[in-house]
Amino acid sequence: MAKTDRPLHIEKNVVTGEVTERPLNDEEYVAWLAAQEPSTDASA
Amino acid sequence: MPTTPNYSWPTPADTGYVKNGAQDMRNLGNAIDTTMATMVPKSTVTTNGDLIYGTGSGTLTRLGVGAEGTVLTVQGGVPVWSGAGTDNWTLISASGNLTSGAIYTFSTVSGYKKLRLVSIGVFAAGATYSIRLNADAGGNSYWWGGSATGSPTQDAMRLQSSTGQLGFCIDFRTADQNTPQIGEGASSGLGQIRVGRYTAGAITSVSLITSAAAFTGGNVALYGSN
Repeated sequence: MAKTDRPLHIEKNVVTGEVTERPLNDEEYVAWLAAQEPSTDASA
Repeated sequence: MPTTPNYSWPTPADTGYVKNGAQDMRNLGNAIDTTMATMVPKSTVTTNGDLIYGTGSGTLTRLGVGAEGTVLTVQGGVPVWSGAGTDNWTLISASGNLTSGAIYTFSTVSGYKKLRLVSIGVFAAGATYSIRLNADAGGNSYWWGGSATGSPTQDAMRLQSSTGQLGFCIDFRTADQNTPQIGEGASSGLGQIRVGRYTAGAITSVSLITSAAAFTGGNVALYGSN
């Protein structure tokens, strides 16, 4: 998946109220992909 | 002239004249009177649990004991009993209706000792959800609750809903190092969930993450309390 096609990370600065959107970065994307796997751990 | 050992009240000398007795008694009485004017009368307190505090230089007042469970705090520069350790939650920010994004983050959070994340009907079909603190890249967060404990690699907590719709209300300490917190149960406590970070340092961002491609509804809000 091209980086630009990745899911979005929406961030709201609670001080300024500014909302920004960007595709998930590499680290976030890897974690997001990992979350697609069924969980077998009670804590996960 | 002899004096008393503690307050130096004047007393007649053994060799004093009887004719001076009236004056000696007057001097002693006046000295006692002066000293007693600096004392706190026992009548200041009237009830079991009463406290006394200063209202200025040389002035005092009584503070009656607070109601059960209240704590002593300061309001307007004076001590008061405050209600039952209640938190005064302030809305920091809310997402509005979530219709996009797989991660929603409240960033630049500061100034609060406790945080509360509230999800109302957040929805992403077939998804699981995670809460992440400070964009944690690994192993610095934990959650404890019910009979299970865990420290997922990145997430402070992972949640699942059979319908995909998620509602919760979770409190955090903003600077937490895996120690028991006021108002929170032990790890084996019933109905208590603790979420925090192992490492020192305040929580400055809170993220709600879905495993789906995007949120498709609901709201999430962040509250703070001191």
